[in-house]
Amino acid sequence: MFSRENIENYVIEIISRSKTIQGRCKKLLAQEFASNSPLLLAQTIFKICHYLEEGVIKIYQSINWEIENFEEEVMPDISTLKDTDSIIRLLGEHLRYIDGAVTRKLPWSIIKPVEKLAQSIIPGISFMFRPQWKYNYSVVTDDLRKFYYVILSEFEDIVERPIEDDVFTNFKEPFHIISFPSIERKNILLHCLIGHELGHLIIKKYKFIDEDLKKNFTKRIDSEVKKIVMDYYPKPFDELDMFTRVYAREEVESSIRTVLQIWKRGLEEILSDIIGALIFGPAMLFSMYELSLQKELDHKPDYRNYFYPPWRYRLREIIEVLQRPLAQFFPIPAKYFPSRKRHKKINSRFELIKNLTEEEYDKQIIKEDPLVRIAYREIEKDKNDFILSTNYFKNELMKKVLVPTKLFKDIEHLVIRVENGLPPNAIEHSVENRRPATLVEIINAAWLYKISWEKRLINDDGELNHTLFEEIDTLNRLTLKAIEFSDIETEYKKKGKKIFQEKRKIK
Amino acid sequence: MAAYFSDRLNNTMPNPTPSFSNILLISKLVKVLQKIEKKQPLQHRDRGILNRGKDLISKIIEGARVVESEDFENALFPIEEGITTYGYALRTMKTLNLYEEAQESILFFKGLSDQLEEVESTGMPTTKVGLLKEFFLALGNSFRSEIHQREYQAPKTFEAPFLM
Repeated sequence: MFSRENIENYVIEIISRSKTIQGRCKKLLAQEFASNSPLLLAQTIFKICHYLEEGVIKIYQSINWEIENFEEEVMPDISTLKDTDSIIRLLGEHLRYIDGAVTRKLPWSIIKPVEKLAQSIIPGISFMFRPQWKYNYSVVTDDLRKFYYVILSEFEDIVERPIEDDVFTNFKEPFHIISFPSIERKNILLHCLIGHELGHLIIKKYKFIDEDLKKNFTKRIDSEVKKIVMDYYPKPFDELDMFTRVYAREEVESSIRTVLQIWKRGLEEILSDIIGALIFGPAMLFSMYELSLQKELDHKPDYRNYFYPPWRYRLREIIEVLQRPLAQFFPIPAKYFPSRKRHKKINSRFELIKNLTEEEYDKQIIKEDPLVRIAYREIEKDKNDFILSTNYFKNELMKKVLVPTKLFKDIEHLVIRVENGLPPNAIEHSVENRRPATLVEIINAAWLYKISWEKRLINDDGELNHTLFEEIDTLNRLTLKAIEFSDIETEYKKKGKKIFQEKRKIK
Repeated sequence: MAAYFSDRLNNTMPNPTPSFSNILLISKLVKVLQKIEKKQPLQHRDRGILNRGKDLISKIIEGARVVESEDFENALFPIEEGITTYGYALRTMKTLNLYEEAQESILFFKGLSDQLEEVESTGMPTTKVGLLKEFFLALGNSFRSEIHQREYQAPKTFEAPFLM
C-alpha cells in the first residue's frame, strides 16, 4: 500500500498546506488590527507550522526505505504524518479567528478599552475579540496557548529544539477568544454581555466549580435521585431480577449525571450573569432583557438547550444583584435626574423587567421535572457563596464592582451629552474640572438615554419613523467614539503624569 | 417509566475528543517497540517515550478503577482524561479479541505496564512485546478514527435548531 513515491507525495502535500497557512499568516500580519492579540496569534500559528514542517521533514528523512517488512515498519511514521497533517489542518481552521479580528470587521474603538477592562478583572490572560456569523456571544474557555503547547511538546524530540524558545517566545499568557454576533458589530449597547463571557473565564480560572464541589453536590443529591428513579420500579432494587437491576443502576447513574449537569451548567450561567451585573450594573440588565426578547422566556433546561437556565430566571438573578442591600440601583433616586420625565421612564423600564420576573412560570417548569427541581433547589441554596466567599472576589473583583452612588453621581451629565449629539466621553463641568468617563459609565449612560427617549416607531401621522433607525445608529457611533476618546485621554493623562514625574526627578 | 428516563440516557454532552498528544505519543511508542524487537540499543529519548507510555497506561487504569467501581460517587467523578482513554482502550481490547482472554481489564492493563517497565529497564524484547505493539497500534487507530470522524460535517439544512 505504501511506496516511497506515495509517501513522498503525501509529505509534499502536508508541507504545501503548512506553507499555505504560513503565507496566509504573513498576509494577515500585514493587516490592521485594533490590538496586538490577533498579531500574536498569527505569529504563533506561523511558527507552529514552521516547526511542524521541520518535524515532517525529519520523519520523512528517518524512514528506512530498504528495511524488511517495510509496510509494517513504516506504519508509525505514516500515522505521525497523518496526525501532523490533522494538526496543520486544524491550525488552518484557526486562521478564521484572526481573519475575523481585522479592524474593519470589529467595533475597533472599543477593543483596546474592553481588553484593558478584561485584563484588570482577570489579570495575566490575553484576549482576542472577533465577530462570528452565528448570532451568539461566546467565549472559548479552553486556553489556546496550552492547547498548542501540549500538542507541540510531542514534537520536541523529533525536531530536537525546545518549543518554548522557538514557538512560544511572545505567546506567554493564557489566550482566550471572545466572540460576538457579527451583525451586532456596532450595537455597543449589547456588548456589555461580554461581562457575562468574562464571568465564564473567571469561573474556570479560579475553579469556582471544582471536583470537590461536584463530589460534595453528588453526595447531597445521590439518595434523593435514587429514590425518584426507583419509585418508578414495581419492586425495591434488591428484589429486582438481575437484568432489570442493571438497567435500574444505569438509570440511577444517568439521572445523577443529568442533575449534576443541570446544576453545573445552571451555576456557570448564573454566576457569569452575576459577575456581568457586578461589573456593568444596570446596563447588563437592559442588554439581557433585550436579548431575552428574542427567545422563549421559560424553557426547561435540558440537553437540547445545553442546560441554559430560563431567561426569566436569569433576569431575576441579575435584578437580585442590582437590588442587593446597601447597593440598590433602583428606583434611581430623583436627585440624580433633575429631569422628572427621564427619571420616571428609566425607573419604569426597570419596573417592567422586575414585574416580568415576579411571574414564576419558569419556576413552575423547573418544579415540574423532579431532576431539574433538585438541581435548581441546590443552585438557590448556595449560588451567592460561590462568588462572595472566594478569595478572588475579596481581592480582585471587589475593586471592580459597580456601586450605585458612584455610577449615578455624574450619569445625567453623560446622558445630556448624548442627547445633544456629543460623545459621552467625559464629565466636564469646566476646563479645569473634568475627568474621562469610564467604559462602564459610558455604556450605562447610553442605555439610560435610549430607554428614556421619546422616540416612537410610528409617527403621529401613522407613518414609520425612519429617522429612528438613524438615531439608533448615531447613538451607537457616539458611544463608540466616547469609549475611544475616553481611552485616549486616560492613556494621555497616565503618560503625562509619568513625564511630569520624570521631569521633576531631573530637576 | 422507561420512556420517562429513556431520553436522559442521551442527556449528557458527547465524550471529549482524544488528545493529539496521546495519539502522537502512541506512534512514537510503537516505533520504540519496533526498535526493541530488533534489539537495537535504546536512546535516552526512547526511554522517555516508554515512560510516558507507562503514564498513559496508568491513566487507563485510573479510568478503569473508577468505571468498574461499585461506588456511585466515584464512578461519577472520573478524571476525565482517564475515563475517555479507558473507553478507547476497552474498544481496542474488543477489536483485538483480547476481551475474552483478559478476565479483568485492570489486570490486563497492569500487565501491559509491567511489560513496558521490563523492556525499558532491560532494553530487550519480552515475549509480549508483539502484543504491546499491536495494542498501541490499534489504540492509536481508535483515537485517530475518532478525530477523523469529527472532521466530517453532517449535511446542513436551514432548519437546524438555533442553540445558544
